[in-house]
Amino acid sequence: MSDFPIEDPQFWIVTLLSISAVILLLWSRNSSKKRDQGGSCGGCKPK
Amino acid sequence: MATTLHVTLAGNPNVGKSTLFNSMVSGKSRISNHPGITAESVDGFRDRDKDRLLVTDLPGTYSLHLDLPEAKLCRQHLDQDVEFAMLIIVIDAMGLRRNFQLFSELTQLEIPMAAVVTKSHEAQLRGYQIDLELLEEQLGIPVIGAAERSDVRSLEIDDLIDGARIPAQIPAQGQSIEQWGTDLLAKVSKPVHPEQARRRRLRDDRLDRLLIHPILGLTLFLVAMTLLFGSVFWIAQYPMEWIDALFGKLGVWISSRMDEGALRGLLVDGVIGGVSGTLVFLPQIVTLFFLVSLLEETGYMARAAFVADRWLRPFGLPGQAFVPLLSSHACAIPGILCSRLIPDRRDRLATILVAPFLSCSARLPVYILLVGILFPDRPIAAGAAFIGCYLLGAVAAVGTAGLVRRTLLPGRSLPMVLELPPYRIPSVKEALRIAFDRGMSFLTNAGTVILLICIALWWLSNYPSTPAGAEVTALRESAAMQSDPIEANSLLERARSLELRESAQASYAGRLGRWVEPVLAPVGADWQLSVAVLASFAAREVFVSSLNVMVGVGQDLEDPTSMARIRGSKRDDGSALLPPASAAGLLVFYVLAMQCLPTLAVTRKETGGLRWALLQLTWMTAVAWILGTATRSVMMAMGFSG
Repeated sequence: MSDFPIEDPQFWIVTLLSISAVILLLWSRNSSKKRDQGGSCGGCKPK
Repeated sequence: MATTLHVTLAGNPNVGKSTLFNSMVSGKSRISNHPGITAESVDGFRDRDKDRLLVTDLPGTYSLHLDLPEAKLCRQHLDQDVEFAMLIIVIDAMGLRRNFQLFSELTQLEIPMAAVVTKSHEAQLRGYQIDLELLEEQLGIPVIGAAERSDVRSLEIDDLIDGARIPAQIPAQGQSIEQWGTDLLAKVSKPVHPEQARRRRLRDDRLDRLLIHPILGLTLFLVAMTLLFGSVFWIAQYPMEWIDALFGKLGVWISSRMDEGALRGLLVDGVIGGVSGTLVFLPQIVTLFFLVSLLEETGYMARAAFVADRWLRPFGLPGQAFVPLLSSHACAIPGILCSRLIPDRRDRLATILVAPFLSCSARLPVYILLVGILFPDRPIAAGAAFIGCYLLGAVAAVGTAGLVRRTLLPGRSLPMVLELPPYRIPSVKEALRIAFDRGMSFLTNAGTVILLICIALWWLSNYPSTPAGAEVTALRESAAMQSDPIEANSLLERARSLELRESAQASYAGRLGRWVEPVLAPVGADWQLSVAVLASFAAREVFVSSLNVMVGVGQDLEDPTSMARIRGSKRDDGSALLPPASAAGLLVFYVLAMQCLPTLAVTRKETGGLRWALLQLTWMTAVAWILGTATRSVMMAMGFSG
């Protein structure tokens, strides 16, 4: 049976870090889209 | 509150506006040695002591009255009634007369103006120089000059802005612009070393006959590119090994100082494993852009464009498509934005549709990994395979364009007019600056987007966790009963390895990978590679980092370096994760697949609907899957393991 180790404090730390990472990722994508009018996918950059 | 002074940069295409713009604001525009790189106006700010500058870089145009998108955009911008406006016209000393038409039109606006004259060194190579003081007197506005592109950065722009004046309307009544231009040119243009310039022109003509020859030119282009990519592998392999070893040691050091647990796993496998999987490619990226910049500075790339134009037109792509397609080698998005300069809608749609086939720089880490697996310790063969990837993308692009222009978008395309710059010794300093900029951009990306994706992916590949299975428990019990410590250790290691694999398979990422695996298996991807392929939709280079996180979580590998980790990792059945046939299949898949969500979003925006974006996604994925599967099958039939 699969489960989450909710009694382990480290589980909560890594979960919070991962959720923060996803939020930051979405936010950084959104703000870079507004900032870089010239355009770039973020993965690569125009010369 | 400080006032805002609106400064607009205008000029002909490829005169150096973007370089000037970058020197005036904190650098966020694109520069290249070919016309049309600024497809839309770009704004930037700079604070001065007394006021704030809002600088707008307009796309290059020869006249405001042309029926072209860039001229319309300039007209729209200049028609705005903005307070505190001034205009800087950037004039190219190489073709002074050609700039006068636009200058004359701008004088009608009656706003303060100043001028920056660029490329005066190139003009001297052609045998003449411009007397800037006399030009200032004749135009009636302050003028400063930059001999080289790099000199623009050290110009006293603030003094120029403060000294801007409203010029008299030119030409005066009763005079033609042609006559005025001819008279002015005769006054301000002075011959310099005419004999040397004549010899230089003869030499350039001789070189041109060779380099833009339809067959010889193409052959030389392919040879130059193979040497270039071979050098990238050869030069960068040592620093790449150092970076990889450094991160490997860092992972081992942290592991030895932290107790086993989720935090250590996240730090070692998620953060260090993931980021090192991308950072290890920094030397190749920096070397490639350094060498390409050197080549571009010599004036060779404009000749390459000329050669390419001949080969593009039969496939229904217009001459103007060359610049967007060339830009797409850095990133497809500016390439697609550049397509706005193509006047014909059908030409533009065909260019947008095929631009993502060209190998962008985000694909480089994937190419380097897979080519490195296919040709270990053979830099020339690896270089040839590398150029093969670029060629495959280019062939797919022109092939698709040919198909689309004969079916969905029928019609003929227009020829291209291109000015060939003189040949020159490249500036190492400028090439180093560009390589540094690209390296920093790559580092920033690795430190933000890739790091965040790796953290999230690590969580998805670890949870939900699963209790040890019956086989793992049995192995551990056998180990406890063993009297021989070596045998006991071996059983424990097997139990650990099995536990990690079971845990990775039960995780969210493992379930997702298993769900997608049947679709990607013919290309050569197991469930771990399938997760990496899916994750790389956000950013292509995440493929290597994701893979590094997946194999780090699911396997207890002894070698901590990322390349060796991926090379040594296994599938569930114990066979190699990336045998030659699968590595080749995946490489072909990556060259051709539309693995980039932001590009799809831009295609949707630029084509005005979802239809072309969906066609792009479906067509590219289908071509990638079919050719990837075919490559793997052919290699397996030839006896390679897959």
